[in-house]
Amino acid sequence: MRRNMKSIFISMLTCLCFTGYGQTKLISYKSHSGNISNFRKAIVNNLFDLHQSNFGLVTSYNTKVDTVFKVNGHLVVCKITEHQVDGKISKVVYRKDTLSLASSKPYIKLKDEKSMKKALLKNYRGVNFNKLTIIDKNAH
Amino acid sequence: MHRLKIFSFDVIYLFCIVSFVFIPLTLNGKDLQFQFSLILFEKLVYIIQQQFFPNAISNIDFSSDTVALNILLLILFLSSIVLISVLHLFKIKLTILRKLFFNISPYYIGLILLKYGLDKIALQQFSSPEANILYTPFGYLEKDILFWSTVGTSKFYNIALGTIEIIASAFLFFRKTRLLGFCFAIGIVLNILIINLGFDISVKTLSAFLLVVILFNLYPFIKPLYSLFIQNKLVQLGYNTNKLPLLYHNVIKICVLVLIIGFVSYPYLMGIFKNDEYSMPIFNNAYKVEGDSKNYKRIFFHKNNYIIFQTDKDEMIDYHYELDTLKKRLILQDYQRHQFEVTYEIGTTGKIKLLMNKNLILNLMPIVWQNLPALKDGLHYTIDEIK
Repeated sequence: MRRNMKSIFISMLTCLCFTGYGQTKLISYKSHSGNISNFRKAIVNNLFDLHQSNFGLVTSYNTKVDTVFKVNGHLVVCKITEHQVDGKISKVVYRKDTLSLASSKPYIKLKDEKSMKKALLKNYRGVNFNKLTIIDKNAH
Repeated sequence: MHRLKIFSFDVIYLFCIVSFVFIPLTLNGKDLQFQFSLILFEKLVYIIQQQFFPNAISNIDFSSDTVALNILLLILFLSSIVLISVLHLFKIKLTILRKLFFNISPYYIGLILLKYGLDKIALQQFSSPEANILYTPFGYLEKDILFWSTVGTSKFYNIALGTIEIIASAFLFFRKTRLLGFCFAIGIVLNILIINLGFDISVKTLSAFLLVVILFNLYPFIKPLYSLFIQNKLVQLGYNTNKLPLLYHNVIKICVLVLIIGFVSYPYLMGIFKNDEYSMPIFNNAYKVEGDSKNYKRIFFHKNNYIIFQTDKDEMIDYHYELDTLKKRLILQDYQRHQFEVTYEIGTTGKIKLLMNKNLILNLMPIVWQNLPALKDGLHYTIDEIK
């Protein structure tokens, strides 16, 4: 029994365990050529991605997609990322991803919410799709 | 003297155990440990910080090399002295403390080595330097980012170092190889501390703490190891003392397993490192400014959504940006939280026109920066191969 526990333990250890962001806050800041005179402002105001370096505060992110547009054969995915610190939303980032014509092909023909969500989930991992609105800007 | 030694060791054991609990381990995912420490210590740390270190950063997050973390460690150390003094006064036996320390600390050190070992193998800790760093003149980079970026240029070095850390952690998880694991660990962590001190990398406190834990784990074996290596005597290096009852031992093992599966592997399971068109930026990382450059010679797009302008004098000015591909614009924000919009046009050959304002239009030509010498992989066994 103890030998089996150990084997399970070892195999778990060999396939898991990375967290990324093993940089310090200062290194993370300098990696995008941040001026040292602005570092304190950035850290005190918790600006941008400074908290992503994991020698520090852990921030959780909640990304959701609520709207997609079909425009001239392109699919535009509207993403909203909430940055949560201490359980409170500290920042909301909006991003619109315009997929290329080739990447948009699997999605352009889909018209209902369920099939669109299913298709998007394959590539947008870790994203919440609650209510999805599909807007076809080419429809008359 | 003997009593003083026992007292000192009991203080260290208790200090280390409470530090394992209250120093927030930076494992991605949930911040339960941090929340717990914040609830208990934030006010006290804040009062001490305001009194003695008024210039310290007011956000208290106990990250390494902040005044707050050092104050927390001091509070834990002083509390340990007080508690052990009281327990010794009432002549309460503290063998359980020693057993807890020798049974928990190998897993703690092992978990940290495993985490950072895998981060290195996945090239997530020392990532390859971005174009903005590669085009910054050598002398303009401070030691810490210079070291970090240099290490990031070699995949082989990262994978090799990561592998050694994982092997050390594996040795630590099993009683029979624990001593060997600590021998590996002391070399690894001592090297890390020396690098942190030599290159002014802001993880000195945490690495010093880890070294203290390792040293106290190795202390009982100093004499046998000395006899073996220096006096060449035959000795038995056993690691069978300080065993906890089986139930406690299994509880600790299950907790470590839950930590590894639940928290350490969280980003991997959530697909955070997926790298495809859906998460790749649409811009090349580096552009040369053509024509009337308005004192800018290059512009860089950093993967974490920063745009960096390099002037003719090699000054770097960075802004965070949000991308709106529908309206073809970037919303730039500086550190004073001022925002302004920049529209862009992408040409057929990858050229970009950035319309900063009515008076400033920058024509950008993509640079093939991936061929820079710093990023070339190559191994020459002899200098004769170099042509």
